[in-house]
Amino acid sequence: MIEKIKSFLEGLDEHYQAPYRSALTKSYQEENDFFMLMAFAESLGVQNPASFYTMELLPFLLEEFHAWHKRMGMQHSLIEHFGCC
Amino acid sequence: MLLESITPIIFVGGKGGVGKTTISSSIASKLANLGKKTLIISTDPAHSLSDALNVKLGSKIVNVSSNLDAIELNPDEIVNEHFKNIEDTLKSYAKPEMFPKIKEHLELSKETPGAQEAALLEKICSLLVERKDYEHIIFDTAPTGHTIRLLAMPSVMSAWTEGLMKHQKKRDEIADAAKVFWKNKPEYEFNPFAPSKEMRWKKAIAKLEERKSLFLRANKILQDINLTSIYLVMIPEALPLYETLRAHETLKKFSINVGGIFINQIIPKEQNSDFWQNRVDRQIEILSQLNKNLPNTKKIQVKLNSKDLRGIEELKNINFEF
Repeated sequence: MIEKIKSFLEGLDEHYQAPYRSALTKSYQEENDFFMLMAFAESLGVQNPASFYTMELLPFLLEEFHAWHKRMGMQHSLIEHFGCC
Repeated sequence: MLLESITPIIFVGGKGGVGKTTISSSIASKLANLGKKTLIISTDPAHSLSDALNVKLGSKIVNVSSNLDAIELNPDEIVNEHFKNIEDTLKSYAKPEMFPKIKEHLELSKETPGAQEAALLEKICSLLVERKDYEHIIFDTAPTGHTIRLLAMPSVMSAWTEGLMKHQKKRDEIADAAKVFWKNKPEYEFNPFAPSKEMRWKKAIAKLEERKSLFLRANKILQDINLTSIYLVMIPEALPLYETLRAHETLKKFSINVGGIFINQIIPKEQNSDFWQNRVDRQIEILSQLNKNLPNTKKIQVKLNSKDLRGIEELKNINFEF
């Protein structure tokens, strides 16, 4: 019985929390996407005065980069010869 | 006198072929001769500093004489070093199977326009910021256009990174709000706040911060009248005159202090052929135009010499006339 109540409460929690989690996470992701866009604008053909320097962010943001171009609706890596996929 | 009150950091710029290297290495030799520890740096990809000093120089600091060190920056080498660093960092983060691809990408990136410029800029900023124990650092620069761009770069770059950082603040606020709702799901695969992901973002941001602070510090030094001045070199002819006036204008925009203008290759007033007399008249005309346009800038004249001046001994004896 206690188990049942517990899992019901958890479900209730989730029911109320999920929308907030998804909304906030989404806007967090949008912020990240903007950052990625700024850092790797060059790969989209946008002039970026700092591309030489943002290059060194790549190691840290490799996975992020892959997720980003997927989210941006591009199936393949936009940096030529740079196959994350 | 010029040398007693000269700033610790000196840029020597001007049109190609007017004698920048001779003037800058002459200033350096004179300062070293006064017992001040001096470093002269050539940033022109087409180096001629070795030839002027008559010493074999390279991309490592070489001691030329007592109190005088010299270095010729090699953009290719600096670019390679930069990418080598990135590669090493990547090695610890990327999956091994991605590595060949990444290497290929980095190789190609070395060729991107601006890579050499950016590498050079960074090196110059580092040299400016860690002056070590040099009392004077003299930059023998590439022709005007390049130099002005180079001097403008730190402010452009710091503005860019600044903007990115501001945006980071906002991002962090949102992250804090969102994290609350992820508390109960630490092992969920798509948790954007998994420790490893957070860690990486932090590292990337730290890298940017490092850059920003380097550019900001360099910029502060460049715009400080007591620390930095640029001397423009010209010869008494029309084109160098116009270029000098334009450069003076642009440097004002970037609030970089022009210490003075060297007019090199002045010919003596007493000439007995018509050809040379005409040249003298032309010279007087150019100098008066210069005085009219820039009445308050210090002007230093250097006489045309009948032989090539090379090596410390000859360079330090070049006469600067005010």
